[in-house]
Amino acid sequence: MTEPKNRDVQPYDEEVQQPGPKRKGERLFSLLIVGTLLLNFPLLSIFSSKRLVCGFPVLFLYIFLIWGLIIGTIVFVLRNRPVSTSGPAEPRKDEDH
Amino acid sequence: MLQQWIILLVSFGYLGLLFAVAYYGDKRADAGRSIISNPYIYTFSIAVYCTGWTFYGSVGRAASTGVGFLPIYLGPTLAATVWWIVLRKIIRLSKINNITSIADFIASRYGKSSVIGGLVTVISIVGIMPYIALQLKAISSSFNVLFHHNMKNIGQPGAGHDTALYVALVLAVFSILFGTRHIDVTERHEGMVAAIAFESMVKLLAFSAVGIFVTFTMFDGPADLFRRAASAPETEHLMTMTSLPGGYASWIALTFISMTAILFLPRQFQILVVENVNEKHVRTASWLFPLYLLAINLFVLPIAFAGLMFFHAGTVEADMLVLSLPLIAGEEALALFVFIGGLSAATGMVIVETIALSTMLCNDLLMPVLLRLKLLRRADVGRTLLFMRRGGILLILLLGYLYFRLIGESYALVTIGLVSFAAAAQFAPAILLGIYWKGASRRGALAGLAGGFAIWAYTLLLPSFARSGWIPMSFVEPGPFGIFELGPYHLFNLAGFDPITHSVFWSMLFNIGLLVGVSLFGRQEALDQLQAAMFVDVYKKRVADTSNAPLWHGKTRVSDLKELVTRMIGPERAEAAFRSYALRHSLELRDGSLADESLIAFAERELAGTVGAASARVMVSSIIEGEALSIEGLMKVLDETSQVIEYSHRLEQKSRELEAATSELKRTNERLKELDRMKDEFVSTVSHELRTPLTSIRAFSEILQDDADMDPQQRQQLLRIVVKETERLTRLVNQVLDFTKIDSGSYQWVHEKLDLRNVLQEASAATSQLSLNKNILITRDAPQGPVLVCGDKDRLVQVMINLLSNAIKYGSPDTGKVHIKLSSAGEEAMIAVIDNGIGVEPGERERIFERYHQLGDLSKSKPQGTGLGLAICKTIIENHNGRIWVEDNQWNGASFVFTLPLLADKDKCSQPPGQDKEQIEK
Repeated sequence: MTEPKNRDVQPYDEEVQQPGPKRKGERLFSLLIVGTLLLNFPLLSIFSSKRLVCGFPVLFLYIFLIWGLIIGTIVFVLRNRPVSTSGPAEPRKDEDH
Repeated sequence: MLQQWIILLVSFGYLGLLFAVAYYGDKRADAGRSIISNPYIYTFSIAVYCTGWTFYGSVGRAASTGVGFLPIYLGPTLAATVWWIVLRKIIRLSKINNITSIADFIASRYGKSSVIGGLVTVISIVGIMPYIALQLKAISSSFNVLFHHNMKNIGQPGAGHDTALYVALVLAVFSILFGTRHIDVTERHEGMVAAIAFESMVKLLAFSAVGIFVTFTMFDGPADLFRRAASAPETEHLMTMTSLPGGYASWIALTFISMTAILFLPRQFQILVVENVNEKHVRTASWLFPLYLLAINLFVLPIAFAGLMFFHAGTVEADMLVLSLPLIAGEEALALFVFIGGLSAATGMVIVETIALSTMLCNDLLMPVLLRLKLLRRADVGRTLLFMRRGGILLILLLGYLYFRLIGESYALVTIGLVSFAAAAQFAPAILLGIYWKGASRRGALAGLAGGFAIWAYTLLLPSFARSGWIPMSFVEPGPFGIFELGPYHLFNLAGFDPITHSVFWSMLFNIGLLVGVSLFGRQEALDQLQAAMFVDVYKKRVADTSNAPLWHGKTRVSDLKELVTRMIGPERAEAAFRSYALRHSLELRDGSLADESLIAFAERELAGTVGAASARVMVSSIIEGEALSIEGLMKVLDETSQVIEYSHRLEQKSRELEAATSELKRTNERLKELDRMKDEFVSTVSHELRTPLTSIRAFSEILQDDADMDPQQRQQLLRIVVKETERLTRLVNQVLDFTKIDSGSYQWVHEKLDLRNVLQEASAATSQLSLNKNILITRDAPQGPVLVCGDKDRLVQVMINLLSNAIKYGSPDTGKVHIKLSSAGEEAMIAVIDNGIGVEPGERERIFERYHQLGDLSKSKPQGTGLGLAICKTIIENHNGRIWVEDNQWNGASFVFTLPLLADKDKCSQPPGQDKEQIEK
């Protein structure tokens, strides 16, 4: 029963018209490239060692750190920024959609 | 001691709990208070990505390759960075087009082609078959480990066949109950999503519990565990990348296929796109889902290291270490919880996957075939659909079981799963290129998918059959017919890769190569082009608007459309859908009337939500007469230039209209100026005319006043002049009054039957003095009998007097002559006043009938009239339904001619012509 309501489609994306999202897209794609480089040969081979750092295998530590860093960056880039300077505009935005 | 009945009771109890969650989800959805409309539930439901493979297989893989299990989770993490861009676009497109599955999506993009939809379905079912087998293996193995633990034959292979069959059957029933409970078949399953989200929480908790138990109870925290692992010979080599089979190339390939798998595995597409409630949820899922992956992988290496150190190599199946560790420690309750976690992971995958696949099987493979064969004419199509979907679920699970029976023993969990991942990766080029490159064509996609799928089947699927003994091993090594270059693991002599990397490389090369190549060198069909434009430009407002564009050109009745939709989605929903459409467009849908294009498009979209885009198209076109695709609709979307052309056309037309209006305005302005000038002239003429008699009257009156003893004869003469000038003044004023009266329409016309000969007679008599004065001869020519017309006698006499006095005025004294000719021809009487005066220039002939117009150059000579006489004549004649004009004659003078409608003898002049209603009312 809720289906028609949920299925409502906005004719076009208002966010596309704001100046921010293009920046957002650039940042996200850069993150994809940087992340892919960090988690690949040859950088991985630097950490391919049996050494333990703080009690963890260095490779294990490196990968999970980078992993967490990527997640943190996604949160940062996609953080819910109010478009206008006034605070209360934010909750209203969701209703508009 | 875990008894079998306890394990079964807990398992079924857990499944019952899941069902309760799903039931609650459906109830809430029906009540309009969706619980899944929430970014966190959405994220947890995406975690259906973590299956029995993750739960058991990751540890198994870690036990042999160290960090080699990680690319499967790093890929989705990297992919999630661009979800906000890519996934959101796919969701938007799917909602606009009512997409029901990944096959539907690809078919929709490439011209709603049912061939592509069918191919994608086949690839999915064949490709996912190993993946389902993996889940069956995981569940049955874990069950056996748990059950046989006390019988001291942990992990002994071979005991799982029957268990797997039962598992398959139970899961089939369960999936059917979940996915196809309702008679109205829809593509969204809120209850199922809720249950999946719940399962994701259970499996994360279970895995973390065993991880914490192993790390902190069996060892003294991670530092202790890793320190001991680093010095143990079984585990120390797992600390580096060197243990990875296939090395870095394999790492890259696995990262790549898991990046595509997270979006394009049929179940991921189902959860991420089809079941998505609000595209804003992608924002949260983009970081929370990678975080979930990180959390569930945190304890994989510790568990694997612990397992390797506890059990001697080969005594325990590495895939079952998660379960074996708590068992060996005597923690049976924890083991049972872990088993439930694994059950969660596997059932979640199976439920979503089978529902997604059976939807595809039904919508994109069976329906188009049935429609083509015209086997679907019965009224209860909804039930047929439901039956097909249920059958589909059972069929898919049995296929999975079959594959498990064939190869289950010879592969580890992850290796089986990767085969499916490589199959799902085949969809990536068609979708990603499809939504960003308009040039990607239907034929290209077909070639790419078919090529990639063929290579995949040849390099991964067939070798797995070979291992099971279906095909001789010599097919794999050295190669078919002993040709090494054709060997599925070293195709065209490409060596140095592991089988997965090798297959991914070749299949992607062929897939992308064919897609791009065929698209570049082939032609796109109309509908293909149209859908391409719509998919690529979905964010542009213009295209979004034209998603409702009237693309149907043919005719059909509203009732036919309604019936079709009703058959598919049931009467209630159909009725509601049509009613809301009518409301939205504020129009009334009468059954008998013809459906317009946008209603047909609407109906097609509604159908697509149930049976998929390709089938919906076939269905709608089956009831449409005439051409199915309207060219205007096409042009509207396709050619951006056509819009510009149309726009400039319109602009040109507007400017032409503007030009015309301007010149019209100019002409009117000229005329107004002319009229204004004429009016000024008239005023000056009239004032002049008035002043002349007034001056003489005044002058003579003053003389009479001052000179009292003037001789009577002279006095008499002066008085005569005064009287004459007064008469002239009166005449002038009368004329002006007459004209204004007639012109304003307030004149009271008198209509009577009259003989035109009398009119002539009277007018000649009135002007005889004038003609005598100038010695101008007037002759008359009239028929013997009466010439009867209906009219205002005084006015007609006035016309004649005007014409005659004009003729006399412009005639030269002594030599001038005027001839009046009365004749009747047909239904008209004609009177001509012919003179030998100065004549009228051809250019002036129209204008002399205009008011205030004077003949001759005013600046040179004194005007000879008021400029109103002929205008009055014209008004009077036209009021009598006659015409008046001027022409040349044989005397080089002017002939003024007018006609009047004749009146037959017996007719009465009751309804005088030319008298309009207004005047009658007065």
